[in-house]
Amino acid sequence: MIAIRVRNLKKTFGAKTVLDSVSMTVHEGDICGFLGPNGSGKTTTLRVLLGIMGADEGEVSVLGLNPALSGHILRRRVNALPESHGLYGWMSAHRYLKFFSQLYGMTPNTDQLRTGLLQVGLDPNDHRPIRTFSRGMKQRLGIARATINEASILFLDEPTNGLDPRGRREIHDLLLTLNREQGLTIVISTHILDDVERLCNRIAIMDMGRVRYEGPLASGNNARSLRYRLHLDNSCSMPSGWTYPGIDIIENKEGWITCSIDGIPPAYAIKTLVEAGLPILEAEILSGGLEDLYLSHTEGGVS
Amino acid sequence: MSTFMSLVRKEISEDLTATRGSILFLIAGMVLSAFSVLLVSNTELSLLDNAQAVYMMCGIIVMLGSLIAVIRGSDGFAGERERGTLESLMLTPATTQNLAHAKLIGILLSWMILFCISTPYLWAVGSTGQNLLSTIPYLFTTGTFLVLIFASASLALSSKTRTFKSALSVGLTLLLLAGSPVVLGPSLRQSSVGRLMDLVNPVAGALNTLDSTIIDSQGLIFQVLPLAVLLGYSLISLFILHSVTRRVEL
Repeated sequence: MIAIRVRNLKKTFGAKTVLDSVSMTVHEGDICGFLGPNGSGKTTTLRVLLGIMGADEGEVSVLGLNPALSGHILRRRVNALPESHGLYGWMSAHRYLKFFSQLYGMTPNTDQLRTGLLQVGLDPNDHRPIRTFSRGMKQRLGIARATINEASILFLDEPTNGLDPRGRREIHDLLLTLNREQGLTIVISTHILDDVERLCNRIAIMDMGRVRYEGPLASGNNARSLRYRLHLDNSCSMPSGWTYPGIDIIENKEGWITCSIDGIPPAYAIKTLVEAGLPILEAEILSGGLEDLYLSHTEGGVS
Repeated sequence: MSTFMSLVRKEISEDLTATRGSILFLIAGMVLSAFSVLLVSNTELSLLDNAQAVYMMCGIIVMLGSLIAVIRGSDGFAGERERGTLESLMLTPATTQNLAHAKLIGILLSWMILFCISTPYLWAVGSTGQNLLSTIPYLFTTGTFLVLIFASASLALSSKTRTFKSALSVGLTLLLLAGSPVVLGPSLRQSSVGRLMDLVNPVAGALNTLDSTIIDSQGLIFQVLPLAVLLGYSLISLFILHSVTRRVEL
């Protein structure tokens, strides 16, 4: 089932074209990484998808609804974390979460609010005003708010901004759990490629108002794989017919091989090759990975 | 609790518990105290008739109410936009018209709090004067109309401006323009132009109503026309607010 479908979306601000024929598709249950440089049109696209900004041209369907016409109905079924936290400094975290759940027509009891705060690692007994919170705590509270209404699609703009590595891991785990257990579709706009690699099964790369690349993360162009040249002892080569999941031999020459490693740690892959009888002297990264894919599809790219 | 009622409750809480709301009432209280002390203790002002003192105090109260309406109204959308909270509200099922109406109710509540704060001051400056009791419902009615007009206009402006400062500067200019005919001299106000300005100006309408009630002791029948003008302005400004906030851009 298609959760989000965008066709030829156009948006201009005065003379400036912000979105230029944007087309993309996200299926239900996907975690889609939305990548692109600052000003590439990611936030504008998300705002159009959420129905809080109108488009000039194009077709948009989110959960089968047109956000421009049925925005307030759609927003009962989706939720979003904008880049600015949007927190009221004078409220406590508990009060804030209660306020937003009431905006969704919910009447949460104290236990539900405590659970909401605990799942993002906030202390439910902390009644200080939000203005005294650290940046990371504010980010966690924003995520708690974004997950309050059991939405079908969650739009997140830089969800791990300001979080320490442990906090990031906790938020990753939370999002993966929501995706796995509730079938939540997630669209993440971020610059942190590690977040995308950990979470996403699909990516869309935007640049200058256009989607330059869209596809699954772990296949297709092998966005996630790293390409290695492995130098061997002279006269050695790969035994023909050797296969191993996650290691794809691209070129097999006397003295060296080129392979791509996908889905397993490179050190483990090299150890596996050594154990397969290859006398590897040196491993050289040629190219690959999400970073290369990103750079090659954005302005000033390396391709 | 419905989406709209949650928004109203948030606006009321912001008035009562947030620092900004408390500061506005504190300043209003200080201004009222300062004027009361002046009216009672200043050698020349203390010679004023009690009814005149009550009228002056009423003028200050409705203008303070209008000023608070302009400040709160300008902050309504533009301030939330600047603080980044508008986007998070717009991402919920609440419509932008819900937001505008809830904010308007919050501003009307601010006026009611100011009215409650100011009533003892009226008693302090005019307890022995005439028409003090009949003044209070007229003060409440005219003040409510003025607050409704200026709050709706400021909220509508705020929904279209990027910053609180620009919304506030336009709102204050409107308030000054609306209040300017009041400072016309008596001879100019008696001219046909002055009378026309008095008739169509909501601030002049409110003050004339208070004048004729407090000083001239005129009955309700004399207040129908200025109150109808105020009602007309209120309905027009509500309609503008409703139309303008149908679509609010971030």
